[in-house]
Amino acid sequence: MEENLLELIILIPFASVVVQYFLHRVLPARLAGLIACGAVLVPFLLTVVVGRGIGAAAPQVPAVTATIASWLTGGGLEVAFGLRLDPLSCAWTLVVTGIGFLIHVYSLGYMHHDPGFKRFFIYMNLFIGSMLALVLGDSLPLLFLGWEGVGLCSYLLIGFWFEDMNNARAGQKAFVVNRIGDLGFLLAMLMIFQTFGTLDIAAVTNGLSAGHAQGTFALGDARITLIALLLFVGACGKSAQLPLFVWLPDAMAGPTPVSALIHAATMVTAGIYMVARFSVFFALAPVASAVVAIVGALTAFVSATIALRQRDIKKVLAYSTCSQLGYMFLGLGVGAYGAAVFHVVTHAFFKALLFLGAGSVIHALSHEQNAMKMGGLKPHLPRTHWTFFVGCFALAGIFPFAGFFSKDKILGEALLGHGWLFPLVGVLGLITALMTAFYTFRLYRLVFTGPERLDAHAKKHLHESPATMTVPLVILALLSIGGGALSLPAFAHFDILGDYLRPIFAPALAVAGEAAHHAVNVEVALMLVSLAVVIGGAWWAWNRFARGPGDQLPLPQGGLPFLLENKWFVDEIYAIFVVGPMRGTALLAGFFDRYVIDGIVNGLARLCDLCGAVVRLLQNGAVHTYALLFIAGAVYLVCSLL
Amino acid sequence: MLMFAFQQTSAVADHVPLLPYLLIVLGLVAALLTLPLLLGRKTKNAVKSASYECGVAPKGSARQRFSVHFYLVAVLFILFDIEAVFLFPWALNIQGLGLAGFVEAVVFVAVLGLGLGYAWRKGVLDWQ
Amino acid sequence: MFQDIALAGPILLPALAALLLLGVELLAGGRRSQGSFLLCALGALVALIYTGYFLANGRTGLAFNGTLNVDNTALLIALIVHFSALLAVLLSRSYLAARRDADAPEYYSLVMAAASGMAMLAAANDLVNVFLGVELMSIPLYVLAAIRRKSARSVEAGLKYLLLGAFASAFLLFGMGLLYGASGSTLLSALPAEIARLETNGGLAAFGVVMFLIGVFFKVAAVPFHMWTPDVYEGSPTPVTAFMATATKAAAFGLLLRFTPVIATGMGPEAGSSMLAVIAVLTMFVGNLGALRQQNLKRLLAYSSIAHAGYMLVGVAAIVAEDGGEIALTGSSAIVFYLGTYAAMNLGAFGVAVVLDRGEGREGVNELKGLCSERPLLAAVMAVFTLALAGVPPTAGFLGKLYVFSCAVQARMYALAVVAVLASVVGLFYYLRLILLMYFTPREEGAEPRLLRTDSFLAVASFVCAVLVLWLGVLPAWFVDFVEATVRG
Repeated sequence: MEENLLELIILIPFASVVVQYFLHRVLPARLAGLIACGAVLVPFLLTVVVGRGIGAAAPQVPAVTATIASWLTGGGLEVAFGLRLDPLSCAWTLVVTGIGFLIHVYSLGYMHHDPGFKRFFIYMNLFIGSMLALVLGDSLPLLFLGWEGVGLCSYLLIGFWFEDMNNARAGQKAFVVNRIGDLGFLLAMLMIFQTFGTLDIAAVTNGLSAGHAQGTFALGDARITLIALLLFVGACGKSAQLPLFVWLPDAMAGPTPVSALIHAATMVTAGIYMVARFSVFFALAPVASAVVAIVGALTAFVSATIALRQRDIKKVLAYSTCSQLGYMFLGLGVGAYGAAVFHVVTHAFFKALLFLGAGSVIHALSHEQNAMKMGGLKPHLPRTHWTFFVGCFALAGIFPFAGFFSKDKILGEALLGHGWLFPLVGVLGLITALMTAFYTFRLYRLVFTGPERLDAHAKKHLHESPATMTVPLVILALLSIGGGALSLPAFAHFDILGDYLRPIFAPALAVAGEAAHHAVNVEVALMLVSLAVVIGGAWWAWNRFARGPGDQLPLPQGGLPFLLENKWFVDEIYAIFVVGPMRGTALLAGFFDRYVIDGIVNGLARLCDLCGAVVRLLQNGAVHTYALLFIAGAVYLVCSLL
Repeated sequence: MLMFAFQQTSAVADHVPLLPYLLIVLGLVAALLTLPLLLGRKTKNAVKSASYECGVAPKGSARQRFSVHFYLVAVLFILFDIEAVFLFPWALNIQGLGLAGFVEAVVFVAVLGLGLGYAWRKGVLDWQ
Repeated sequence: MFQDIALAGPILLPALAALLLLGVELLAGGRRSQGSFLLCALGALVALIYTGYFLANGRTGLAFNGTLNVDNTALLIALIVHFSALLAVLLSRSYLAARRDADAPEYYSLVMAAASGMAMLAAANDLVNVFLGVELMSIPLYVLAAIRRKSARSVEAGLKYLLLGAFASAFLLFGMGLLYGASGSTLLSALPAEIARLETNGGLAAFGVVMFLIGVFFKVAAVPFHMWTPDVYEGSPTPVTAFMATATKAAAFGLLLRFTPVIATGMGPEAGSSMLAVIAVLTMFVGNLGALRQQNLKRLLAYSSIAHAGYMLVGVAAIVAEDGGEIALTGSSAIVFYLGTYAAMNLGAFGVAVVLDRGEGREGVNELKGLCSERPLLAAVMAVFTLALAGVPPTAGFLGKLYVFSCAVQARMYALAVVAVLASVVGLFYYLRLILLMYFTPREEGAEPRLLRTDSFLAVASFVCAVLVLWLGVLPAWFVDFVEATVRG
């Protein structure tokens, strides 16, 4: 029963894709949209039903599994289309389908006038299906299939308005950068197969735990470290970490609901999911964990600095996404796995809220995205305004909004960690929190308060968005307010999410050693410090941008602002050190291909052609020729006997 | 390697006396064919080179078309001829083969009968 | 007795259908092709289900004093044969509707008779039954090839097939005589032991094996005994061509698989496998090279079928090289898998050819031009078949090749495997040309829109084939397991 429901969870979105694809001529747009929404809502409800059964914490990881069909066999490799719903995948599935459903509903309004309405929903459903395959797949190949599937959907949706060449380029950039990460993942997969002889995820992780217990894999084993690092390369590509984060801000070229769904709430967390899934590997490889923590902290810091000076409303949010993903990796790196997953969940709430709110603003202003040309929208967009306001509090991490609890958990574990590295990245995280609060409220001030700076075109159709768009906003706002209750600080002894996930991370924590419990007053003190920092940042921005960007326009001269204005010149560095040499190599390869390879191939083709002509010459239609050849063959065979 | 096929020399040795016989026959044939050429008188005229048809004067060309019916009847003849060949040994062993053998023979005849009926229906036996 | 008859069901049922069809014709007279069609399709379906039932329940055994060995391989081959027959019959309906001159009353009866012979060939365990099966298969096909009596092409095809077929039968019969002489037995299963016992025969058995194989090579269209193939495939009615290309091949390879122990003992594993390897290489290359410049779709598919015979011969060579052991099982199941998938993709491709033909003899590959914009679904289906024939993943064609070629690797015939892969690369050229024509070449300026009719039977047949090709390509595990389990017995 539960197995069948589990199969349905993943089959429904794909079935919906098939139905919509084949019936796209006859299906009315409205119905297609409703089918698409239903194809996300039903899996969500099913996940609730199935997931309730596995809540009980047991010594071994509780899970529901199902095998849809056997897939590949041969060469000692047995891979099935198997699904596995355990607490970790359940949490992710709920986020993907739950947030996904709200965004689908929102899109009904947002994409209403778009000629590609039906195409949009096909891609969106395909995305949800792929993401579920990624999360629910019980084997690495299936995870990889979903991984590539979401990459493909991301490419299709970023370039959704492909008539504009820039959008198509952005899609391409995302795809290519992701491929670099995928290479790492693929290599990791091969190494895992070589080491463990299986690609079943549970078997691999259990095998590693058992191997560690028996002494086969010591702490810091070189092979395991290499696998962990390669996995992390894959995660970097998908989750937009340094130095592979360049694609995410460009990905804002897609429709805003796509930005909300893919580039904020779900797909980009796939890297986090993978690292969390293979947490045992990272626990056994302190070097790899340190790399994860450092990269995460640096990404968080650098992205936040870039966000300080962005003008495009979506770009600010995009860099903040990179930055928040950096927090999550920081958490994973310092061993705060539960806290990282908690941050994934709360971030999904408030980032989806902010993006959808931004979408609502953009929608109202007839596709104006420059925050410098907004301002004073508060009375025009009342519902959008207050929900966005809530989102800002959550993103900045102000008590008691959701972001506060999750961010604080990560920072707490980092700052109170042992050695010198963890506190260091913790301090970096604290500075980032300051900047986060600053740019968040800068954005709020620029968009909603101060003097109106709208141009005529945007002003013409200024209107609050329809209910299909604002209702999801309200729901997300409520989640952003109350989401922190899922996992309160340790001294509150109320930690639903943490208890739920405990069996998943137990092996990793057993290896690395459970984090020490800190005294209540230490934790509270830390909270107060971070709260003070955040409120300080928010206050600064609140006052500084009270009258719009006016005083900012004469740019403060100097190195740092210049550097930030140009996003640390990352794109330029890429252009010189990556794209340039690639172009050169491509030119050389093209030359080689055209004149050497093609020469050989064409020569071969001509040779084949010639041989074909000979064959045809023999085929002259006369029976006696045929008989003669027959006899010749017989004679040859008999002679070969002698 | 093919030569090994004749390794069973005992069988071959038994037939060695046939060799002179073979040579004598071939020689005789050759002699009978060549001697008339050397000794005989040669006359050439139209009557002599005409084809021989039991002493009756030939009529028309030998290369004329036959009705396809000839072939069809001939094929049918072979078919039923072979049927008879099959039925003879069966008839001789009818006691031993019992009912099963009888049923098989009936099926065999029935299938052929169906074929005959089909040919009949198709007009093979009509001879306008 | 009844046990024997029940076991021979896959052979007897189509024969019965053939007789029934003749009987109906006898009583009704005239042109009743609609009723004949339904009866024939029903007959093929019943035979298919019957065979499948026996296969699923493991009802196997020797029949008629061991002259028929209805084992799992034989049943699998019979399954493929009856599947091909059923689909060919489904294709026939729209073909015959468009071409009245092919609509002879005997048509369906002959198809069933040939199917019976093929099933017999697959199960034959006695040289006499082998010959009976070969002739029961071939004679109806000779007639079917020439069934359009008013068309010079068709009659030419039938005559060529008949003449060369008789020629090949003579070789086959000669080989049987020699084998009998070398062993004193006509039972295929007893031949190897007897040949080994009467070692003194020396070359006699080897010579017999070669002669026998020449006869079989003719039937599978192996080079240089393939010359009839393009002409006959082109001249025959398209559904008959489809049937010949798939079912004949299946039956002949079934015989070949049963004959491999005889090859190995008669010629020795090395000599036998190297001879097969030479023939396989020649067949793959001549088939693929011959197809390169073909402008006629049916001729192109004929050459492609020659090439495919070559691929499968690679597997046979591997089996002979190892003479028994594990590879006999994996090799047999690989070849049976190949035959099954090949039947599906080839029948599908010929089905599309029937649609394009429209009863007007439009057989040029140029008919494929612009198919994508006119009939996207038809083009997509054809693309699936073409890619499968080319052996591109994720279609079943790729896996078939993979399994067969890996047998050669298992038998340590690395050079043969490499050559086989190279040959299939050559094959890519002309298969991709078809895709190119369908998707990237518009029709000529001013060409009037075509009325491409697909009748529902043909549509069902093509759809079934496409689904099978994709399904077996993406999820082959169950079928591979099934084939391997049944071949193991």
